[in-house]
Amino acid sequence: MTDLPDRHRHVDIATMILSSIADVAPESEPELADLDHDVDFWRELQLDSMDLLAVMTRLSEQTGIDITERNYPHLTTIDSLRDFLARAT
Amino acid sequence: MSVHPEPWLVDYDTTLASFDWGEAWAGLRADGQVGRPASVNIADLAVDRHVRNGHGDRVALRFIGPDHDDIDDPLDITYAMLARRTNRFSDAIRRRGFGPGTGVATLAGRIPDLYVTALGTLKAQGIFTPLFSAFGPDPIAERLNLGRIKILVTTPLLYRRKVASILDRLPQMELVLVCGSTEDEIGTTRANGAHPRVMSFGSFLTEGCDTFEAPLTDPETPALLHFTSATTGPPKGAIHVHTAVVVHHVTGRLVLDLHDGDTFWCTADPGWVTGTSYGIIAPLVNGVTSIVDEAEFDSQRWYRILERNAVDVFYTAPTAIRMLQRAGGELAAEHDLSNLRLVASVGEPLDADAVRWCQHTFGVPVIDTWWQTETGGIMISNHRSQPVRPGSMGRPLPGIEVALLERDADGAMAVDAAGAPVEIDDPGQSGELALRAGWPSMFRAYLDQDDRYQQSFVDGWYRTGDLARRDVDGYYWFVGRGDDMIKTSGHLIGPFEVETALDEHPAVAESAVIGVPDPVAGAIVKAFIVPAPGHVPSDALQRELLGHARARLGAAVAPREIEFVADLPHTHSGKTMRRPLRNPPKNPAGVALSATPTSHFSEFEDLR
Repeated sequence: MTDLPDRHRHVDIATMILSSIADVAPESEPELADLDHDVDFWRELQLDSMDLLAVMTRLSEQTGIDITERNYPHLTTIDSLRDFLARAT
Repeated sequence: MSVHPEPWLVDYDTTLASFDWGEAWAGLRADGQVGRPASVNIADLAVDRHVRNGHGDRVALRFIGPDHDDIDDPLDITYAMLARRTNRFSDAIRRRGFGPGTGVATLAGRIPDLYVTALGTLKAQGIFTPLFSAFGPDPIAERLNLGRIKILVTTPLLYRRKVASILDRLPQMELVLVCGSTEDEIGTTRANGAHPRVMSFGSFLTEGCDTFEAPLTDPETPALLHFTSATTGPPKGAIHVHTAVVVHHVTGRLVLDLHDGDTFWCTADPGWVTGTSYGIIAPLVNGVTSIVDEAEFDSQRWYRILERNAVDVFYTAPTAIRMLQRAGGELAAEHDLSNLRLVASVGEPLDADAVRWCQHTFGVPVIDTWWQTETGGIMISNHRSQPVRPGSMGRPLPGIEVALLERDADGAMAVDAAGAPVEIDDPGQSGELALRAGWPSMFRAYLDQDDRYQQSFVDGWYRTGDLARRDVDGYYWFVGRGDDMIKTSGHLIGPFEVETALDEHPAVAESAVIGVPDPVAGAIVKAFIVPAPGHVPSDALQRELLGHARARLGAAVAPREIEFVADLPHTHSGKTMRRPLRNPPKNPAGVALSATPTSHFSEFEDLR
């Protein structure tokens, strides 16, 4: 992943985030393509705190990046989550 | 470091010996007399009474919006403002011809209009039903119809996502009020003259007058209708009456230890009984300031709210306490929480480890409380002034008689030669927790299900369905559910509702739903599914069923895990047995699963 230019990395990471959400909440899949990347998607997609925990755990496992509960409040949009993961790699 | 007031309950045994429900009314009556008054109204006691007593300027509810910046910019509603706004709501529904007994439901997050609706409904002698906003369309439609709800208050997001699609399935609904939207916005989604009428909450309120006077009513008049899932059949609608308010007042004092000038924060959502009894009624009846946070759990946010508002008493769920524990004690140490004098929890047993962590981190007692939808208020708890036994639910509320009744191996109530239930005294033995019927906040009916109501009583005892034991000092310890109900994240989920939704999917032949232990949620909902002929277990199918269940039921109720099995254990009469799935025997063959065609699914193989 680190060899790719930034733009491509961002696309990849966003795809990974969306697919993690779809794994945890398959019913949201039809909406993910049109989801604004700068809205609070937890609220928009009606995901609860157990869903949040499951998505974060998945992303941690896939990237090897430690996402602590302290970070959660700042990771409410696809953009913020993507930037966080991109910075940490 | 602030100086904490003396606890209301100084000595448990003394209070227990002298307690009387009639005397408990003295604190609520204008004349200070003892005994239940001839007429009463919860909303009058919770709101208008404080205005009459000169406390109209006191903040009743402090609303914190969902965004980060909202923590520093809350919306304060005083008792006087709340009185006027609830008057408007009551008057508006009366003017539209909705009389006493009208069913009014909310489907919304923790927004101000929800609180106005709840109290305004009670004022107008309507019956208030809160629905959990994380429910999917199916549970929502079923509850609205079972409750014969005529008015629904909701938000634009929930209206769009969950209500619009079910309007045609709600024949009894007459009015849907959408908060925070204008007539124009709603008009674009719904034709004029369509049934039910959909309009904005704001313009509805303009139809009412500020000066409506809450009519007092017979104390046995229904006030609240709370739905609770069942192991079989449709959800049960537990009905509570206006006189329940004396329990909210008493438990607010003796258990939550609320004092004048306190700031109290109950984190429960009003979609469940705790969020109504202790998120709305108990703090207001006790005249304190109540924090309402619209956002979901977030450890940093919560510490900031506790600090910034100098919260004195905090009532939350074990799941939340465990999540705070995961976030680490250092986070707590960064905040000044010296005002806090009591942390209480409810929803599922608070494990000893969480109690100790919390006590160490906050330096205050952490008390578990036990009650359920049917009891209307806290029935068993630890107390601020008494030594807390970590892991124990505590001792009965003064005025409440508790017993443990013996059950036989099949879970049926054991009876003696005279046919009476057998009380357990042995501290080592567990039994079904039972309460002597007749306390003021006891549910008065399951709506339209009198047989089920009668079945929940035996010989003057209300059977709670929970198994517990009692130690030599009279502290109760939760053992487990006596039935198939699942306690997850502080909510009680009935497997039947989940199985029904799963079984509707064409790829499902049969399903059984149980709770499996989870370190954060206490338990999570897990479904065992027998695929219909022609359907092969696969990741894709698992995903589809998960999505199907979540879309129908909502994230809070739907399974978190799905496992395919070849067959499910049944009784001789063909009823699915969930117990063997919860406690699988060492030898899986004993579960009586028959062999089926091969599958590539490993768990599937394991269970054959």
